Amino acid sequence: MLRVKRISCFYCGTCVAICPRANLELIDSYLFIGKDCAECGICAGVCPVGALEVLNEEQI
Amino acid sequence: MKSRYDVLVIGGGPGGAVAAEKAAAEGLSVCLAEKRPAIGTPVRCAEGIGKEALKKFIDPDPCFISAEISRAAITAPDGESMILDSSKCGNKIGYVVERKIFDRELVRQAADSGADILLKTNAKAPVIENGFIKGAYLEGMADKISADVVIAADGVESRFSRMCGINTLVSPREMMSGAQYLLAGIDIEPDMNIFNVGNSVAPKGYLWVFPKGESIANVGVGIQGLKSGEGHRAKDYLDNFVRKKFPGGKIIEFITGGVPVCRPLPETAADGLMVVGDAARVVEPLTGGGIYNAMYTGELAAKVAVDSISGEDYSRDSLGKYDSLWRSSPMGKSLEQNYLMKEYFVTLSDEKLNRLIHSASKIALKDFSVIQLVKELVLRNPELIIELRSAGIFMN
Ligand SMILES: Cc1cc2nc3c(=O)[nH]c(=O)nc-3n(C[C@H](O)[C@H](O)[C@H](O)COP(=O)(O)OP(=O)(O)OC[C@H]3O[C@@H](n4cnc5c(N)ncnc54)[C@H](O)[C@@H]3O)c2cc1C
Ligand code: SF4
Ligand code: SF4
Repeated sequence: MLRVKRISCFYCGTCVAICPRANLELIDSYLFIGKDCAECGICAGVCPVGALEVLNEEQI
Repeated sequence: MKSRYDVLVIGGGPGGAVAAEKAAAEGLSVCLAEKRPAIGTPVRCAEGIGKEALKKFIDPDPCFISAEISRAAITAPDGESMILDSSKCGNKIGYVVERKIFDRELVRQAADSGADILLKTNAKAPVIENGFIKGAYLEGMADKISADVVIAADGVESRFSRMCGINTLVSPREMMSGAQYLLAGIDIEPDMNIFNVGNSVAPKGYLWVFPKGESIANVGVGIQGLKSGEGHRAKDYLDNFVRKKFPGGKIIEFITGGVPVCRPLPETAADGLMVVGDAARVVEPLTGGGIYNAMYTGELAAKVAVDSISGEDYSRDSLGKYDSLWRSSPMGKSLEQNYLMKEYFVTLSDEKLNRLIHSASKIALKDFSVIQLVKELVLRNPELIIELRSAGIFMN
């Protein structure tokens, strides 16, 4: 599962542009994570501040 | 508020604002929808722009000029610098602006020309009729707006065009991941932009110090998205640098952002749609500068919208004039040239970067462009010409 640490996110939209599934949407300061996530972690890698993380079963 | 316009512009950055202004000034009815509650904030920019470039679109008002720039320095991985001075090109070459005010002034110009502005209004999805984009479903101050022509100026995210079927996806290799502090109380040269390169400073990118006054500057870094990960993100590189260079600096603003440094979209027009600015991926790939290109493509899109609307032809054929106009313009040509340059420069090792930067401690440029700088470097390092040629770059 992909999670965004709300307080760490600077709502810059970088992750939105690189998600191959168009699964992210930024509305004002709120990053929406859609249901079509491949959990590939591409967005989590590129985020300039590490606000995104892919959690495994145990971490959820 | 009307629900039908000649032109709907999505996004209130420089691209959207100029498109809306120019279309409204020609008498079209124009609506600009911006999802944020205030224009231009948070900023996603280091705020540097050439003097002449800015003047083409707005008078340089002191209310949004933070600093005037007359020199630039490129600092090598080993710390040595090469100074680029502008004495040959009429001194003051650029500005560092205050984007929050600059962007808002551009939107004000659009409003003064007659465009309606909707803030806190997100474009959710396109309205599509017979394959033509005919407006957008919105959430916020309106639910739906119909228009003959839609101009997508929605910046790096570029979701709207993606929902219209245009592939705007950027690969992590071609996305610069950026972070920036506005640092106060630091010792800087207030008229000099500094670019630091090197793999330990900013892998496949650069770190900048752009003055915003006597002792205050935008200090930021952009690294290749592929090089970013836990413990080595843009923010980590920025913190390392600030700790070493400006330990006493006070952070008074922190922003992040992504810069697409890929080639432009292969298609920037469709039936009923034109795509401008960052959404069209027309950022200068080597410098990451995109303010001017956004305004320029915004203006062209407005011109083509005027013609298409007077001829009542909103097809790809008609709007496609926009695509060919910007591609054949000096801007379009320099994008391709600078893309190849970027692809070449990201392959250079720190040793090579050191050697190139050591080859001159000071260069007076006739005009402040990448191509002029590369020409000067070629003069001092003739072997470069062969390497550039094999990268597809021909210097004439
Ligand atoms: C860290 C960093 C440093 C930079 N430094 C420089 C620099 O020094 N000089 C330079 O020239 N360029 C620089 N750039 C690039 C520059 O900021 C952009 O090229 C420029 O802002 C592009 O303008 P635009 O109008 O295309 O998009 P933007 O300015 O990004 O505006 C897009 C607008 O659209 C809105 N929007 C998005 N989606 C929707 C939607 N669905 N509905 C409604 N509204 C929407 C957004 O909220 C935003 O306000 C930098 C970028 C970054 C990230
Ligand atoms: S890239 Fe990171 S900081 Fe930027 S919007 Fe996405 S999660 Fe937030
Ligand atoms: S993990 Fe992959 S699929 Fe899921 S939102 Fe991030 S980039 Fe998109």
